[in-house]
Amino acid sequence: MAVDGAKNPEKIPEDLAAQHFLLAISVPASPSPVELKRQEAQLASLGLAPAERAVVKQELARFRQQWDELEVQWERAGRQAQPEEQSRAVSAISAARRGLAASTISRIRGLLSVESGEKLERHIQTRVKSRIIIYGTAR
Amino acid sequence: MRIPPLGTVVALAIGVAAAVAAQCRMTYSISVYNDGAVSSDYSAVYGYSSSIDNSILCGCGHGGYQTTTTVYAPDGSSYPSTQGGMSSSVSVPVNGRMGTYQVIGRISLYCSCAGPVAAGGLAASLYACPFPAGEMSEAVSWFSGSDYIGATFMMDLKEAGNTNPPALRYQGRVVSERLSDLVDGCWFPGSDEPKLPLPDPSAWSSWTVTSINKYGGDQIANPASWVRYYQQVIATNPYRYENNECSETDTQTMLMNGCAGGPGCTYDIHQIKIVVQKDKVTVFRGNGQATGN
Repeated sequence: MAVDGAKNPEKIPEDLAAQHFLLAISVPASPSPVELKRQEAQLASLGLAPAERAVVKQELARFRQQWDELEVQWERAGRQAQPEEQSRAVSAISAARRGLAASTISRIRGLLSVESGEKLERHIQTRVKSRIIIYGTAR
Repeated sequence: MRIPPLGTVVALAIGVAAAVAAQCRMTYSISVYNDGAVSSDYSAVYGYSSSIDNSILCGCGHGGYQTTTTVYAPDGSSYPSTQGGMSSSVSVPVNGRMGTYQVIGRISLYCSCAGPVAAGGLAASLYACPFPAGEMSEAVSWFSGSDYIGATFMMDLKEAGNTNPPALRYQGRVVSERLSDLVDGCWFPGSDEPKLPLPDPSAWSSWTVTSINKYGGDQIANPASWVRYYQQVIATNPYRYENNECSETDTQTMLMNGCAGGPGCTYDIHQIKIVVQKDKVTVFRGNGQATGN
């Protein structure tokens, strides 16, 4: 493995931690009751107030819809025959993912109280980063 | 094509390298995050994983992503769930199995150059074990004998917001006390009574929590000879102490044991105080108090 976040959390890039966090805590379109309960438990563990959880869920739904579209584009890019074209497409999708995660985190923090925003930041920096492992080559 | 070293828990079934552009080298970069959460009523544990493929493809195709989350319960049962795409989750009923759960995430995909590829497999721990947020003390009896004078308290364990936990939440768990910072404010040089010592740890008590999340009784008392002596001092020399009373205080720290051998937790720290006046004694334990003689 390239990076074990439990041992070297500082080597987990900010944007990667944000992407993982948002992907793990969001639910797909038309979520099942179990997925909604899972999301509620995840948000509760962040210590967010009920009203804050409601607005965060809306942002997460927006994020997930756009992420799923990027996931389809990624698989489509994988099927492109020309390496140069593929490389351009993959780079664009990776950049779009990073941008989507950064803007979503920024919007969520804007919706939270200062205290809750700090809790979210701590959660990503400590808990999420420590549970990410990068295999292959860190980028 | 370079095969990245992915550790013992990562399987990379690499076939043959595909023809790739000379200036381009396919490089894997796949990250996996796995974690868990417990429902607020402790009825379910949720495991979830997300995976992200940031590989440099160089003409190779990556597709057919599947993410598997497996939760291992404290009794060894496993609960796998595989979903297409880059995230998955699984819900596991707790059914009284408090303790440490393990969550393992794993991604698999098909690489057109290397064949099936999988990454992941390191476990994240989740400790599913409730602890109270505090307790309320209530005096239930007074005793005044030749040995000790004081009160017996029963305690109600409380959740955040001072709410009552559901029945059975803490049944069978063990609460224990730690005593510290004892100050005998009654003692003075020349006193007939020795300064009260902090009770030896071997004398500290523990209690088993009942089905309705109560425990006790905790007897808060001092030796009768100590109480009666200082009552006599106050009666005969009213100016020795401010307000005609003296007191002994100490700090009581409450701990609850963990689940299935897991770590316990301090959940409440409060003061114990015994106030002596010439004709009565008042005992305080946290929010509770009792007066007698």
